[in-house]
Amino acid sequence: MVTRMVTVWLPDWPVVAAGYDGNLPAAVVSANRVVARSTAAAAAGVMIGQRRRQAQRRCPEIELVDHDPVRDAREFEPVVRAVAEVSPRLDVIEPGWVSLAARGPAKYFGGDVAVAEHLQHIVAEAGVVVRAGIGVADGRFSSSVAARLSVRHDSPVVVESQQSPSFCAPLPIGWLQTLGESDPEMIDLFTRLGLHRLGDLASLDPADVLGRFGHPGLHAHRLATGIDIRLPSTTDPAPERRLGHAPEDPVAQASAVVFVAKQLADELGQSLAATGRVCTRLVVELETEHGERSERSWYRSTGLNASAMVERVRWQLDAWVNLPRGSEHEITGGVALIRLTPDEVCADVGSQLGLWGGQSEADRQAARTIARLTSITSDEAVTVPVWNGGRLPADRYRWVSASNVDLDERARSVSGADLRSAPTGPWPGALPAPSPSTVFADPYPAEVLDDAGQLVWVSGRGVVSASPAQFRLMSGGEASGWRPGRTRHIAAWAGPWPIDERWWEPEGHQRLARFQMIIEDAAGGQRGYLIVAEHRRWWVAALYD
Amino acid sequence: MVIPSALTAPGLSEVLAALGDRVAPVSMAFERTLPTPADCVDLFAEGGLVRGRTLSFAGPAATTVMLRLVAAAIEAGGWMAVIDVPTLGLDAASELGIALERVVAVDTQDPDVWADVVAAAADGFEVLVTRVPSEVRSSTLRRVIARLQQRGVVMMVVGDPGPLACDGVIDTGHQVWTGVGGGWGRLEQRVVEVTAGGRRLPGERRRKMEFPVPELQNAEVDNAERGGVAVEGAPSINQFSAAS
Repeated sequence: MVTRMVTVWLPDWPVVAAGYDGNLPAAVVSANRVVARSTAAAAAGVMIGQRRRQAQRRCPEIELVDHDPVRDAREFEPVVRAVAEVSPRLDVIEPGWVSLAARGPAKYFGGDVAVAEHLQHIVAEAGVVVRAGIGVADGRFSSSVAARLSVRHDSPVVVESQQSPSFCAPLPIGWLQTLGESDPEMIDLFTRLGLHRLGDLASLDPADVLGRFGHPGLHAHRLATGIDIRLPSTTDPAPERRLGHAPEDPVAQASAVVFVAKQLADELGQSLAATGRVCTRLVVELETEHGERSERSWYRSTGLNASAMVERVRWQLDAWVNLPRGSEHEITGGVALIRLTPDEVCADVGSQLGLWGGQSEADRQAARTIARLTSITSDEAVTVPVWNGGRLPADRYRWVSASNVDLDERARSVSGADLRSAPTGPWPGALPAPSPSTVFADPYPAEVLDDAGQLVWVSGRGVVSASPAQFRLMSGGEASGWRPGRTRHIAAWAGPWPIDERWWEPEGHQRLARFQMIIEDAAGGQRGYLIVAEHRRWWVAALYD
Repeated sequence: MVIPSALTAPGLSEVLAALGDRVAPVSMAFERTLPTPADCVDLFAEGGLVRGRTLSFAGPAATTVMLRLVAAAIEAGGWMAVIDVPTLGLDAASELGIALERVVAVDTQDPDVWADVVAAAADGFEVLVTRVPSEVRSSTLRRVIARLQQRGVVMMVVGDPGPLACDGVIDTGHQVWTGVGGGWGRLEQRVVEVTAGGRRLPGERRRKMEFPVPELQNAEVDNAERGGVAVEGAPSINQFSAAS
């Protein structure tokens, strides 16, 4: 039985959530890649998946913002509430993308077209500056595709009942990747095999597809044929699967609620995994001591693991806490009940990882320990590195809070391939390996002198005034005056390698010259230094120790 | 032979427990080693880095040698916690073979919190890299060390170990850099003389270690050739002095 679905899709939601309307060129970047961009930026040629620098080259005046899923979810809350007026049973797939069953509303409003137009109207009334895409079709996949096409056509797209297969057939196979149903490698393989359209894939025998591509291939095939996404093995789970926790004292801190949710999610994930199942739709219920409730249903076709569940709880909680004052369900007290109900589970086939992938026991243990460390210290104190890129060693990695990162996903996506080859790929102007093993975020002031004891300086053209011969660290401060430390002999040096960065921003502009120096210590040993000169001032930026 | 009445005899459980301890299989230190890079194996009499030990590092190549020693353990799937060492150079760690997706940093600030964090981190991490706060009490330290030994976690101490008596001291007393001169070249290679000694590393063991590690470099070149990616040689000065 195919369910008729309506999908509401807001194009490039992260940009809208960051406060940009379509007229300003803006883009949201995550890990140096564009994840969403405004209409103006798209017109200038900025594409999703582009690197930050490519985007800036296409459109120099572009505003770049860092990706923040919590912000996206928070800003999306009014839209979800508005859509929930039409049908309370809706699934949030991700911020900017919800789907709901069409049958009830269609009967009430008098037809699919009427529902679609009504939805478009109420989303616009909820204060969204972009025009929403609305698609109605059989099954979630077809309706999501229809919603995205509707943005291009600027009017709702309604696929008549039973017409989903013929609607999907002429579409390019890349739609599977666009909607996050298949990974890029699989799509690439399909294309190389000559399966350019969804119809090409759909015309194959499912048994052959299963034999050749395994379960992920079968999943793609099922979607391509336009039949329901709901797998035959999908069941409504027994009610005892629902897990709840009512703290003795209501919890007033968001991080504590998330911590409880983490325990529930771990337990739920384990009990489902024990029977080889994964939750695809999760209902999160939160209730305060004063009886205010927040209930959301979250959907992910590939299944929600424990950390994805926690992420959803965090989004929901954050959106709830940030509701405008005086709204109907405003939170006024501590959270007294947290309940996770798996509403739809299916056999865990797609995410089975090979011998070399997946989570090891060590990873699981580390994830638990990270949660524990977070509770001992704070959210901000436990961090993981994220590649940022830059020419100075201190710029190259950024530390982000470990509780905001899906560690499973990270182990998969930020594997050696990503972290080692991509980042060390060409970054023009960065110093080549070996890299310094001690990096100072706040460099130490120093002085570099020539043979005669005169301060060495670097001209605007990157020429050194004299050959560096002596080095001394400076201590003290601007107020108390600088005191030189012991003078050391410079055994060898190389440079200067100038950087002229961000000259287009008055406050971000820096013009530096880098030097590598070997400086003799008291015992006569050779120590490697990375030293930076800015006009007549010198700093120790890093040590090769 | 079991005598039913003896099962209920008081004190039997203690006797059995004592007996159990005596006949428990003894695990020798060399059986409890972490994966250790081949070029560092002969620094240790046991043939590798023994779990539960604390090591401190000194000299002009201390951090690099420390990262090199733990790289194989992280590569094999272990996780590394970096506690109160915000200056650790991640590029260098990555070049020495450490998988950065299994590196987590914790910032403590307070010596009491430090002890709690180290004790908790021992549950999930194989390697801890930390700086010992000088104000920490020795009774607290003993508790922490006992915990590390029980969990079989290696702690690498950066900088002055302060009140902590480390099991071993790795001294990188002398190193020779090549590739750089008076205004030309760049820091390219170094040979470090490493000496291992200390309480539980009897007899000083010395060896020379080369950085960048020759085997890692070759492996990278192999990968690049196989994948058909252009191999970048040593970049000339022009290549890395590009502006903006």
